[in-house]
Amino acid sequence: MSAPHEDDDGLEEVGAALRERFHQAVSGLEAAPGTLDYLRRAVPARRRRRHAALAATALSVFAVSTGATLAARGSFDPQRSQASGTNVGNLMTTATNDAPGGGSGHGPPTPGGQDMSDGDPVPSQTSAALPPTPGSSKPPASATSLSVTPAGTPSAGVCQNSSMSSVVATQNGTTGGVTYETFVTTVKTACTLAGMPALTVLGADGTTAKVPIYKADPAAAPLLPTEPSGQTLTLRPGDRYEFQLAWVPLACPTNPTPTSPPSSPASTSQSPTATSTSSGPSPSGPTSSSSGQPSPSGTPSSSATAPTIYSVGYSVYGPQPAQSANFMASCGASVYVTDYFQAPGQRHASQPATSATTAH
Amino acid sequence: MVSSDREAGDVTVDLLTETYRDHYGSLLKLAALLLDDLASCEDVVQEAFIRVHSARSRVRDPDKVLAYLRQTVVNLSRSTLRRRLIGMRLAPKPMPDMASAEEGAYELLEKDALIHALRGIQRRQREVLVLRYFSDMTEAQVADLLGISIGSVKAYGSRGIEALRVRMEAFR
Repeated sequence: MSAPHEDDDGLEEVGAALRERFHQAVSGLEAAPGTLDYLRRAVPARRRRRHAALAATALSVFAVSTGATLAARGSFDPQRSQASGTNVGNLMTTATNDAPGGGSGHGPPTPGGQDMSDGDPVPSQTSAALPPTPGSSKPPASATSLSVTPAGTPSAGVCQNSSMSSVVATQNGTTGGVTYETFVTTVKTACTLAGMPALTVLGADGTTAKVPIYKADPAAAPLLPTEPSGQTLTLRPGDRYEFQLAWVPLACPTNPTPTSPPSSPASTSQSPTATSTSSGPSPSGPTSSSSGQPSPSGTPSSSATAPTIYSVGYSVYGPQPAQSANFMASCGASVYVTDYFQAPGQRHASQPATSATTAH
Repeated sequence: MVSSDREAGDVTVDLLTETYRDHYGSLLKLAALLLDDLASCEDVVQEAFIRVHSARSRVRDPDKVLAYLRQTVVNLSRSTLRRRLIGMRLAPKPMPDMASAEEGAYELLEKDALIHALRGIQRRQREVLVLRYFSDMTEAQVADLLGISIGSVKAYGSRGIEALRVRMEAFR
């Protein structure tokens, strides 16, 4: 039982010896002369440096935050962008910005996905660079007034409904049950446009109808005349642009002789330019089984289903349609639409003869 | 504003002078026992003084200035040992061609067998022994300063004494 005490006594003895040896070892150490003066100078200097560092940090944070705020505010102000004549890129990608490569900015899409936030003018694709469309009656694109010179037509923001002075929908006639419609829009203020127009299809009751809208790919759906696509239109006041759509009613199913399902018009070789005497199905005739082509206008059984009026609305930007056109279909339909393209001065489309302007 | 800063500076200088006179020597000796690079002892202690007195406004209890200084000396000594902080040489050196008053003392220190043995044991054991027997701190104070438990202090202390004894006998 006395072992711990012995250990404690031994530890205390060792501790006392250590204490004495430690103090003895460093007894000769003293502060260097001038240390106090140095400390008197160094302490305030260190305090000043710390305050200066804090102030510089605060100033840097303030400058960075202010700059970021100003930059963000400037890029989100489209009016300021237009007024300055530069495309200050918006950080938001809009629905009309479908530039390949994921370009950001409120302005027109730029090939390769350039970020337009640097404020450089966007060189839109000139029409002169586009090859002439075979079979198209359009005049050479270089003759149009929509190309942008390298000097720079004042670039503008994306077209809005308010940028338009008029939107006219013209029906080009019906061929093989397919109805063609051309929307011609006249621009009031300078703006840019690209891609495919935004369409909404409403049924007779005013609700959104389940009508698919496809892009008129010349290779897949040669329903419409080949038009240059993927170009950015830079429009000045008074310029016109247009797009075309094809209303393709689907064939109604028949009980006695089941017809082939409504195939995509991509499989149809009929062109809108074809005459009514082509090998395509006749709107009133029976289903053509020899050619295997669809019957866009329906079969004899379609008379049993009452046709429904559909309204295809077009809006430049936003949900409110700027113009609409009415179509008929009994068993549903599909819509094929081209990209925006420049409206020529005198356009004589290879469509069936222009018949009438849709009353709106 | 300027006068208030000047008054604050004067107060700081007075406190600095007082603290220097009371504790600088003991802190210098503490650093000398903890470090194996005696040339850095002055630097470490001076840096500790500058740091603590530059941040006097954050020292909540003025009575604990010595504790803060001691803690800073231990931390800086540890850092010096670990990374050989050369950039902490803030103090103007004595005249290079003139022997300082401490050189003789440092030479004596270098020749001390205890110091040599102390430098050979583990850093944590050395810290516990120096704080416990040179600075006369209790085990609880040492544990608080080093951030370890009292049991660890006891363990490091006993093992440090044993290691020191072995090294002292080997030195003889």
